[in-house]
Amino acid sequence: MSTPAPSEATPPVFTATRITDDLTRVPLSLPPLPWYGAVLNVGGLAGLLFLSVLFYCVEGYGIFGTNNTVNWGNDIASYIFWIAVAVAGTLVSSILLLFRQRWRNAVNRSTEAMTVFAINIAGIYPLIHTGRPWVDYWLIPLPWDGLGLAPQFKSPIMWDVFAITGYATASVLFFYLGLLPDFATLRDRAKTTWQRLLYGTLCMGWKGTASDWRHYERAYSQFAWIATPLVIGMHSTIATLLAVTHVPGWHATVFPPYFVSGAIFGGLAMALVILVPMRKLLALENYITTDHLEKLSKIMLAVGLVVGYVYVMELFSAWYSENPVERDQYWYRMFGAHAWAYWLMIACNVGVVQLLWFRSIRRHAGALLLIGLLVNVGMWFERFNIIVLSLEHEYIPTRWTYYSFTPWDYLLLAGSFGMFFSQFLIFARIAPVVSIAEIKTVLLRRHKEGSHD
Amino acid sequence: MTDADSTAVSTPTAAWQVGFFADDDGLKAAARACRTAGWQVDAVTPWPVHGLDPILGLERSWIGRPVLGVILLGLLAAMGGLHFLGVVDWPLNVSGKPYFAWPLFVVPVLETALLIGAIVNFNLALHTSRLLPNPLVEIVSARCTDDRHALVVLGADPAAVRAKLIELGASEVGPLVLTSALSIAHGETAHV
Repeated sequence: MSTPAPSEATPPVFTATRITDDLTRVPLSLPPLPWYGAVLNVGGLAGLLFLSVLFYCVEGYGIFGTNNTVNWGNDIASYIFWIAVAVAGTLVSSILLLFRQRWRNAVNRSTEAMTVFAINIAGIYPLIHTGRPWVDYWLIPLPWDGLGLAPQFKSPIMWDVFAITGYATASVLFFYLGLLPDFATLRDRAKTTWQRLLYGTLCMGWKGTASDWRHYERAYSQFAWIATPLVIGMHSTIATLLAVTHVPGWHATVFPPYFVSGAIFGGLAMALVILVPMRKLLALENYITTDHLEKLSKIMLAVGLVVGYVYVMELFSAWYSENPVERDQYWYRMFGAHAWAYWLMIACNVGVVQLLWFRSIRRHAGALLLIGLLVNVGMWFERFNIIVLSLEHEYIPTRWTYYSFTPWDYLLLAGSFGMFFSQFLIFARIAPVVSIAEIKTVLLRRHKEGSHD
Repeated sequence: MTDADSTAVSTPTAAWQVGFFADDDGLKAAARACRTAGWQVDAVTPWPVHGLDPILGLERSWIGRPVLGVILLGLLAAMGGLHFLGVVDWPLNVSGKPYFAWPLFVVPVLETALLIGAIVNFNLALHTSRLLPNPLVEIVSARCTDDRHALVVLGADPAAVRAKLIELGASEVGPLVLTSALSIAHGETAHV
């Protein structure tokens, strides 16, 4: 899996045409053979999601492991997991843009795609969780819905509806705006009439006049300004949703920054899981270089330390609060029936990530893929611990219980990964996974100046 | 329509001449020289060329203030709407909270305002460049989304313009002929 860092060998000579050729090859001609195999595999996994949701619609909510005590189970844990994946995508596309990090141009398209695909998967979970998905439109304040009632805006559940819809819509628009010039490139290099029609329609008749670019760039940077508070607000809202309750383990003021940093941490891990195989599969090692992976893993290490700090602070706050229920909750997490889930989280999120202190590991693509996978496991269990363990072991001992997955929970969770990777593979088939117009501004200038940006 | 928006490409005439340039600096130098000569100049580029706008006499994009404006309006409208909902239309006592509990409304209000801002921002970007789903749009050259900047120049004497463009280092020079994007064959440049 390891690839020699192109920057350490002779740097490749980039011309504009070469960049266009490399990045339009897959959308305009047949993808490499492994792509088909990957689509079959993850497509099959995605089928499990549909199967699970279909059976749920027929049979009802009882097919899942959720019960009267643990009334937020897999649904909400996985929902937060996927939303967090989206958050890291916006970090790269918007926050790094505001910080003028030009290296982001190599990875921002992939992470923006990751954002869009992760949000639509996250959205499935709360819509299922309502129990009657066919009336989910009641969440939208529609005056004509026949209820004669508006939703309860004093409830954090409503905040969440607004946070997610706002964030999802803005992310899709941002993603699409970024794609316009590249769709125009595909239109102008299309080999068949249907490709010309498809990309000609998708690019909205983009011409690339100086005036177009000036408005486009302004709109693009304004999207970053809009998306940054949206994403931080959105994930803080989800954290607040938990923190405003009195459930032990949730009722903590640290939750919003805890969730946002955890989201960036886990989402960057997911970015590595996507980027490392993708750059190999599509032969993009010259564009998504080892330097880029190293920069992502450095950010990941930094936020990973914040996450580790919060884990310690949670324990300290519980002890310092002198609240017996709060103390008991954390004792239960560490030594209770689900202690394995807690220590798995610690091992992955606090332990494994320390490997990133070593430069040789940060520059080893295979190692990063493995670390990314383990951190994803750890971050899923973080949400599992927060949601399930708190509810399992709340105030009233007679209500204490043990939550376990049913086969349908497993299918739903596995299917969501299949759905995510399927969408990503299809996206990589029809659009350039690196922004052609943006990467040219970086690589051609670097080539001219003979130095790294 | 402002001066800046009336681009050469939207008003094609045979009198326009086009010169192709491979690099940003060559394009900017040529654009400056042609402007100094008193000719009308526009450019079509595969990537944004920074520093080109002032040379072409283009002002900073105006879409910032409208977006900020609708975000602020969105804040007011959403908060006002929730006031109407909670106080006028359907006052409901929820665990003793005030009817107009504004701190509880900050999140939906902020998110709604930013959502409106995002939608307006996107649509302004499309509007200012007159972008619509249109595969039949006319383009200068297929290479203008690949590796060539096109400098489009209108002067009184086409021959003089072409001579100047060659002198300025254009790789190809000729009269502007717009071609439908649908009919462009791969690898061909415009008929110049």
